[in-house]
Amino acid sequence: VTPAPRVLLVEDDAATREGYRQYLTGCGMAVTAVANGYEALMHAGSAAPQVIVLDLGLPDIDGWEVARRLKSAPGTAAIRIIALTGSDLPHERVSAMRAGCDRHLAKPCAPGDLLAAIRRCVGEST
Amino acid sequence: VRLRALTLAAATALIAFAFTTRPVALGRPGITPVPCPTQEWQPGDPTFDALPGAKAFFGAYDGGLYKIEIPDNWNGELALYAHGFVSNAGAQGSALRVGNSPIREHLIQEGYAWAASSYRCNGYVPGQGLLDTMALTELFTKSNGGRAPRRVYLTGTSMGGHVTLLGMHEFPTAFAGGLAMCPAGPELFDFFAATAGAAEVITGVQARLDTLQADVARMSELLGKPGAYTDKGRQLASVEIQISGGPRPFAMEGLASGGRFAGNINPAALAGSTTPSNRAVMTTHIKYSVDERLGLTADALNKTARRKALDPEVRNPMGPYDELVPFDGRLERPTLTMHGTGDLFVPIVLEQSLKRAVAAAGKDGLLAQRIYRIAGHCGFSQPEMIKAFDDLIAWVHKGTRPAGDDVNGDLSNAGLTFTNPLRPNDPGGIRVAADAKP
Repeated sequence: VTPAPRVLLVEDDAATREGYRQYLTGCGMAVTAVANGYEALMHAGSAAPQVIVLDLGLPDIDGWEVARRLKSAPGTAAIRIIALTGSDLPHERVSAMRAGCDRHLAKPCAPGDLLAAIRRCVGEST
Repeated sequence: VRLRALTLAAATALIAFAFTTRPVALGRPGITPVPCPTQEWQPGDPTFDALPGAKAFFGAYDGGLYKIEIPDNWNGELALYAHGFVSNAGAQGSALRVGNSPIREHLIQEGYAWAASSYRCNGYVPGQGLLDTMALTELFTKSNGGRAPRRVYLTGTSMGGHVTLLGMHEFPTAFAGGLAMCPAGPELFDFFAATAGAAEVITGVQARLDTLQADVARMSELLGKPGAYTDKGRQLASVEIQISGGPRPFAMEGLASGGRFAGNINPAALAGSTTPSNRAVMTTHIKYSVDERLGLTADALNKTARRKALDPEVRNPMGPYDELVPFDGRLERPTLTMHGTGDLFVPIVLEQSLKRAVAAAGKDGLLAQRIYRIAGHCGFSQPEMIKAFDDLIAWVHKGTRPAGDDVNGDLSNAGLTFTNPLRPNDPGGIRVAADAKP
């Protein structure tokens, strides 16, 4: 039996977070959902996710900073990060990339697209 | 009750997702640009006056210098402009400069905003140029009172055309459309190295890394120059025309423009230069051709020319530098290119390669290529550039692919459809004549 891919979902909007969590769980993923950057950093170290879905517009430590910290720490540098940004403007992609994110998706993002991106990241990391 | 509320919220969110699905845009990981040359950059003066009916914004940012111009009757769309190669050598080599879109007046008149960057450094840096140009949308939105563009187009000339094609490939859904004018590309340096390989055979001078400049100077002495070619020079001129796309209008004039005849002889990669772009060079696939009435056979050239194989650690789809790898053709948005027949600096053979890649990827419907009968590099007229831009816009807005040319066909009389106006002496020199006298 293939173990369920471990996903850390970081999203401050409760409805969006819960919608994604339910969808991804239903698709066989082991999802931990948190609401802010501090929790993201805590869980990234302890829960050993394979992929982090990271909203960049977080209220405490913003997603860019979370990504930078994760990618600069040896224990979490290999975790794939999918950035969720508020718009699809070109600079959003560049800023996410420069922060160390591996992929970028613009909101609103269909759950199926997010699932495909996660699966691609899991494939790349295994 | 709480559980029910949560379930309802989740369902609402999921329904919202279902109705807001956009075309699949699984953002790629992005690019790793070739590092900037190591030198201290001196920002120039980005100030400029707005055209009547527009506002100008300018200054310095993390990507160098920027210019933004927004018309009062802004239509909600933004054309990013990527400039061409600026040498990082010489007295002005460290000076960062930012220019205007070449169709600035037309853009403002029609309600389009535009923005341009100096990039953070000079040199052949399409990767840096792309990222610094993309970053302009944030500055634009701030300058525009927080109003983001509804659509963003990526345009560029020469190396900026490489920036444009790189952007359309590596960030395939980030732009509504791309206009690549006289675009360079990764295989440009293959052409320079292949020219050098032929020059070595023709002159008998083999270049070495420690004597490179002197070796090229010696070759130039033996070859002559446009208007004063030696017999050997005519042979090399013919080879340059043949491997750059074949006989075509203004090819001879293109060799004379900007010193390209000798300037295309770049043996650094053959001689073992270890810069990333030279390591990426490949000439093993080049099939030499020449007008054999000039006293040299293609067979002799193909058998004896020094070749260079690509370095798989550098020219590799997996990186490290995306800008060194030939395009894979996987476009997702309308892309229009413009190329001059007599461009012997960034030759039309690059368009042929692009076309093959796009066709192989099954994306033909997203590429239109236009040919212009002009000598030299990027010498398009305003009507030509404006027409191309307007046709790209119509393509994006209405979904109708505009007309283009067949770049892989016979180019000996190409470019009649879109050249406006025809240039003096059209059709210009097409091939090296065997009996041509210096």
